[in-house]
Amino acid sequence: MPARTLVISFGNAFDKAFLVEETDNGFRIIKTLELLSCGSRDAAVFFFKKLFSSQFEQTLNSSLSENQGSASVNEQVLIINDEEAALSAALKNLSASGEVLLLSIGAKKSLLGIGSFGRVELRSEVLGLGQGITKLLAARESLFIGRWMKESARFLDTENYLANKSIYPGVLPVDPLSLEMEQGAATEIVRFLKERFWPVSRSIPKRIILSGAVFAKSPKVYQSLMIFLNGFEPLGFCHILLDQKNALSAFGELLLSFDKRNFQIEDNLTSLGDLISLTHRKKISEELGELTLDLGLAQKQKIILKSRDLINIPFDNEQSGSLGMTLKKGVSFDGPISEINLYGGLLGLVVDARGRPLPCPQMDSESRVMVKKWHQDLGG
Amino acid sequence: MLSYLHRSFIKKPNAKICRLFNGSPKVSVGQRVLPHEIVGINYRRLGFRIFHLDQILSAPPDAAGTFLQKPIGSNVCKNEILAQRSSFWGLKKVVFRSPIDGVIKMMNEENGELVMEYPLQLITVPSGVEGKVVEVLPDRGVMIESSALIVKARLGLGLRREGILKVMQNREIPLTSPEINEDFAGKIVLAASSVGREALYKLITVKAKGLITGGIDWKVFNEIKSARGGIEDVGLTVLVLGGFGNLPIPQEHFSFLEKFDGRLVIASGIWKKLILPNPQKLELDNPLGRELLGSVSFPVVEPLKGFRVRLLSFGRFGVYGTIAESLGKVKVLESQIESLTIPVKLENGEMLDVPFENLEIID
Repeated sequence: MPARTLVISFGNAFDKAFLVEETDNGFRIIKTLELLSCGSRDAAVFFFKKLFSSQFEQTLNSSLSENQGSASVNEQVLIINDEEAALSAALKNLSASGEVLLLSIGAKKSLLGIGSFGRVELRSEVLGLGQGITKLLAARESLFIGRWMKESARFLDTENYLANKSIYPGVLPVDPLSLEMEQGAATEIVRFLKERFWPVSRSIPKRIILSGAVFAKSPKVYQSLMIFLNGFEPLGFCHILLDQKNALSAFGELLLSFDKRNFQIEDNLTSLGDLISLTHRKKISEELGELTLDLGLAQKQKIILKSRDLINIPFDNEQSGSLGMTLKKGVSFDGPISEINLYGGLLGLVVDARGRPLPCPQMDSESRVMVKKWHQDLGG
Repeated sequence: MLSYLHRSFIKKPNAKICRLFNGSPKVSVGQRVLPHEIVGINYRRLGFRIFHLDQILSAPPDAAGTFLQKPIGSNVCKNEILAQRSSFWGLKKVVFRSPIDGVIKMMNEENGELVMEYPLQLITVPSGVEGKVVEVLPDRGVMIESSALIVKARLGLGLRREGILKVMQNREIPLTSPEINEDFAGKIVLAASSVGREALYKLITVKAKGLITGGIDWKVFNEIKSARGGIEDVGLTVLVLGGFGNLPIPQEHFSFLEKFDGRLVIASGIWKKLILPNPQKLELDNPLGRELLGSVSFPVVEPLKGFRVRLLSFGRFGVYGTIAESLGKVKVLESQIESLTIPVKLENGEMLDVPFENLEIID
């Protein structure tokens, strides 16, 4: 592999370029650039080469640190021709040590992938937040999208805003309402994927990877977790990782092109935190049990769990910890209830005691209060 | 950074315009034609009528045919005697006069039914455009080379249809069904405003051929769009110039399109385009009366100071303005997303920092 490679991915909303450097263990992304989809590969390569030139350094250097060096147009260009093959290679790498679930939401297509000790299965659907939104709008009433929003919006406005994204998939949500519309639509996409591809009886892997612009560009990381939590309704314990650089397919393509067996993609993902989800049908505020958290401090922390609560305990991934639970009758947990190892992350530990199946909000004012509380509980 | 690019008009000095008639051509390759000249003809069948002649004449079914006064295949005029039966030694006479102009097609002696066909209707297809015939497609149509302007729509559905453009003026209020009447039949309607559900169905009912509008609600559009996208047809070609929502056609575009009121235009929903044949020289050279970008072939472009833009952000979708500065700056938006923005001066004088991705350069 040459010292540096420019990996270009052609998306339906954005074309992305990653300037990658070879390291002892694998690869390191030096710079990332994203442009509205140029319509043709030649055009994208032309624009990226132009932007990676000195002019780019002058105008956009504010977001890049000084010591990262500049790219020249003579770097080797590696083009991702088959996005799914690249993602499959990335998932194979990620699942080398155990089972992992990948959820990726794109502009046109969304994907659910399962990797288990190097064996990979990918399922995709033409459904997304760009060209793929019309299928979602046709399949789901706008009230299904609106129910996940803190503020109420007119159905007509939600539909028209999202439908316009099928013409202009790169448009950014400039205000909180449009951001919520997109995140509500993403929640419904996750629910759609789960209904379509996930067998009811199957246990959820211990590691979950969230990929795609709607996750990566969420202004607050808890919003990415909320999309997954409300959409997938996971059970038991799982550790959430975020593809914040949106570089999963770039790493996959590099692995397909160069032999780097020691490279761990997981080191390049952002750890969001650990998630504990309880199953019950208890009434609001009813006691569910007790959670004992051991973070290596002098005293163990004890937390009383109440029905419908969403609890967030900050706990970064530099620390190690474990937890145990005592659950009341009628409350269950998918997995062992003691000695659960915690990994932590940007959010730390999140305990979802809202119950399963999730009490889905409606389009009334009470539900708006409930959704607002969920967001507040996670730091919104 | 890049923004979307929309080319409002595409100049086609040598456009090939297809005139389909599925019949006999009346012109030959190389011939110059004027808009009113007939380029082809066709005959359209208008259908049949069945009469129970046995019941009308009170005769047995197998004998009813013997009372016909004209042989099978004859042309008959309305009120002409078709069949006649005398009884009681000529004292009682039953006469059956033809209720239509048509041709006696057949007499079924098993059930006594008389089948009459309406006369074939001659369809003449005018050139519609001024130009030169460059190809004759046997039994189908002709290809005429002519100048044309193509208007690109953001959304479209329905087949390629041609008709006379009928302009509806009011930009402020959506087109409503009471405004639509039989005069709209065969016309391609240009509504300056958006169009609601009822008006759309009324246009289909009165057999308008097309609708060009600024905006349409997703739900209405989805209702008339078939499962196979814009390929199947509801009898009306719809072109949406702005996008989803209540969006009027921008004044400068409308003022230009207005000049084609009463002229033949061609709308294709599948290709999302409106063809304006034979524009004036000035119209073809510079439709919007301002300097255009030139030959950029990408759907995106680097925005520069002075470019006319359309905002794509929620709440401001369809608002027009001009880029005030070429240099962008990183800004945290109201949604808390960090983005590179560029200052835009809106038509009402307001200045706004807009993310590059939320701009569409209007050329």
